[in-house]
Amino acid sequence: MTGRLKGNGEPIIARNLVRRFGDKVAVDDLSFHVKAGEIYGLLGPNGAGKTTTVKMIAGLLPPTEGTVEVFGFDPITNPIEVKQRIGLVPEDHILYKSLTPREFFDFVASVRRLKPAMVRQRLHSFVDAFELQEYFDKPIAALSHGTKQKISVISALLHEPKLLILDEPLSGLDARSARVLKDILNFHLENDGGILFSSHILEVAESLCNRIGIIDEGRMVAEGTVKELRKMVKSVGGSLEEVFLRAVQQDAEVAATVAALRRALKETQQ
Amino acid sequence: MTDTTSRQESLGLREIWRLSGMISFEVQFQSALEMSQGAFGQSIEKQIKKARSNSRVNKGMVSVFTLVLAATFGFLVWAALSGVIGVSPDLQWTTVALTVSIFTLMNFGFLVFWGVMQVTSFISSGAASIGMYLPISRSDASKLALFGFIRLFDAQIITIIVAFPIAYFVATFSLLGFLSCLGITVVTMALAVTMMLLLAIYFHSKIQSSGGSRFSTLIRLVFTLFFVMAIMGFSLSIQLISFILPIIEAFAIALTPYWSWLAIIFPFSFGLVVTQATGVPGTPFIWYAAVSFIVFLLLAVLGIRWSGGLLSRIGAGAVVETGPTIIQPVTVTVSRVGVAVMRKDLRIAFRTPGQAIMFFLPVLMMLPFIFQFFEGTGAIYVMDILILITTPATMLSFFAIFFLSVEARGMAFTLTLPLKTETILRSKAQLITCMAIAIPVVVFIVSLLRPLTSWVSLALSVSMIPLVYVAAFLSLVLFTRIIGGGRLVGFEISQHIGQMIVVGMLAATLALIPLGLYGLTWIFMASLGFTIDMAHLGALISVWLGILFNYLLGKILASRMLLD
Ligand SMILES: Nc1ncnc2c1ncn2[C@@H]1O[C@H](COP(=O)(O)OP(=O)(O)O)[C@@H](O)[C@H]1O
Ligand SMILES: [Mg+2]
Repeated sequence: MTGRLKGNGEPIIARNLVRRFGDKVAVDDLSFHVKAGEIYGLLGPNGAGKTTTVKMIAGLLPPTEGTVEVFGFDPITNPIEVKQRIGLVPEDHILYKSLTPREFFDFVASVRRLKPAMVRQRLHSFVDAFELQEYFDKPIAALSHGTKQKISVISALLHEPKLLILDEPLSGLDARSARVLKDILNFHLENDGGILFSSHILEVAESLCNRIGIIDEGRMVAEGTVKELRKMVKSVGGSLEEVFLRAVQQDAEVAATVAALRRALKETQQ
Repeated sequence: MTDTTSRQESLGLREIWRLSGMISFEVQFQSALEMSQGAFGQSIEKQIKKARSNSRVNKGMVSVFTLVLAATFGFLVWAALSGVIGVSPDLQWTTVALTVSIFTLMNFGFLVFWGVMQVTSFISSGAASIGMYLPISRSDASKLALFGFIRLFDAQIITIIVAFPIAYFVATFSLLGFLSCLGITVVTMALAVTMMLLLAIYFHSKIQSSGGSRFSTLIRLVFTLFFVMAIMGFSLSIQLISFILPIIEAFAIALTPYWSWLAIIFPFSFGLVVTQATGVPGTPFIWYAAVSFIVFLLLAVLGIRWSGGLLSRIGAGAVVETGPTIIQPVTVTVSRVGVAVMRKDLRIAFRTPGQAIMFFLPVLMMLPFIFQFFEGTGAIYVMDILILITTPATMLSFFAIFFLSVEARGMAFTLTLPLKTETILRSKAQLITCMAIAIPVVVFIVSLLRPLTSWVSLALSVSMIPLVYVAAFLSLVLFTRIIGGGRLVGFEISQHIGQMIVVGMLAATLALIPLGLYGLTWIFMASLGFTIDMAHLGALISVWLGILFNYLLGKILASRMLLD
């Protein structure tokens, strides 16, 4: 908060964040921080409050209570400074549907006042890496989910942000592109960038993140490195374990439901 | 639902009606949802409810509107035949035939126009193809798709088919006239449905294929223009209703020698058929009008059959072919922030027929006045020009805030960029200002047809550009303050209509102030004995002062009311 820190503070410091929508408490007293050079994973089931948290950090939604600092700036009072320093890949790709990627990148690069030579070079390598050439002049509306996701990722990376925020970025990406994205993230870390990453899939968080915060119903239920978390789950048992399962093993739950359904269907046959 | 596999019983009309209602609601809901995606804090249940009530309100409004049209139609026919307006007896038949033709064309054009606005979402929603995946016969699947489509405009189509023949009957008391009018109306509706599908497929395939090439940009523009013309013709006729009959009569006189040709062409053959069936005295029997009508009838039947099958296949992705893509090198054009934002808004607006039309709003509103200029002779006074430009200038100022939603869902993305709220608002104001450029252009064209008494007329019309910009910006700032507390937020238009109207009126008033100053200053100076030229010059200066005042007010408000 001190003036000295503005622009140099830690990538993210969130203190006691609360966000309500009417009666619904989407985020409930959430505190965490993200350091330079680390990937912090927000892990939680659908509806846990990940997207709401991301929006508050990116200056898109004011918190009901609590404060956020992004490099020492408050996203609500200094949105421009914050938005200049972050690259955001939102959960649903909110792009302009009738524009082509070319027109879209024109717009983003211009608004961010980037140097043409630098943009061209970066764009070239991204487009090559994601194999986007043939889509470059098609309206975004006509592109597949995964391709839109790639465009969203590129537009978030174009200005070499110091902090990357990715809200479930791997959904819709094929194996190759997911691999490319992971490489890009690693490169970003090596250059001392910070990354906030949200996911509802344990494996993804495990393989990517340095530290993980597990949230459920808007509250932080456990935080630490993957190793620490595993230890915790074993020792505590009971409620934490339950939440952990709900957060990360929905797949198993789904499998059980499917099995039950299959049985029921079999019984009704003939 | 018992044992659908063994026997393929075809669906009853009632089933089709019920299912198609669901399809058509789904389409409306999806496009409403699309529009409101930028809105935060809206529950889906609420949105569904709202979509339902909105669709009812829209249908109600369209029906009332159609009824007014039908009443006008009946009145005109009655007036022509009863001689109240003084149509000479030997011109009665042409006047009636022409009136029927014009309204037929209007119903056709309006339905096509309305349809194409929705048909793209109908196709992209995929709801039409639902029948393809159900265990029902192909003909049922296509009926389902067709009805689902038609039901998007059911209120309008039904009102037209009921109200127009009845209005005609009331005006003529001719049973044959009533029946023939019913016939041509039904055929016209069928033709319109076919037409909108043809256009929609074309549009859809263009959107799907390469968006960057010059050619497709051109096509899109032509497409947009087509619809602009349709709505222009339509609203023009509405505005002209008070003096429409003399105009029809004038046209009728001019067209009389050409009826033998016109009788082949839609909608004139339709008009002639009705007139003949009614037995208006003096109507020549042009037999090929009847033949032409029968040909169109066959076309309509074929078109409708084709449409149903096509609709059910489009959604499944069968029909639309996309052209080959030529891979262009990866480059970008980096420009100034303000320019980039406005260019983006322009591109988006021009690719949405509904918004592209707004660009022609000023011309549209000036047309009736221009018609009056045609009738007169001699030089045009500054006051006439003042009246001519007041409507478009105030209307544009009024509509400015509606352009906050140009980008619809995209707004949510814009908000993630490091853009000051003021920059975004200025770019919207500039977008509106682009439309105001038409005002001096029209005045200039008018000046080529009839001389102006003073150069002040041109200067005044050019002043409308900054006037609109300033008023538009002011209203955008106020609106942002009201709904977002000084910060731009995604919002849904239908939720804020009240505030929009209030702010819009305020903006229109602000735009009117400089124009009012013009009149006041002129009268004041003229009464003091200044020459007319001096008075005009003085008045022009007060317009500029008024604009300057609004400009400063906008600056102050923006710095006080906007948060970043
Ligand atoms: N705009 C909103 N209005 C009302 N409730 C919301 C809104 N946005 C999110 N919520 C609610 O807040 C909770 C958290 O949502 P979200 O942050 O999207 O979760 P996640 O991203 O973890 O899946 C959910 O229960 C959701 O229904
Ligand atoms: Mg989410």
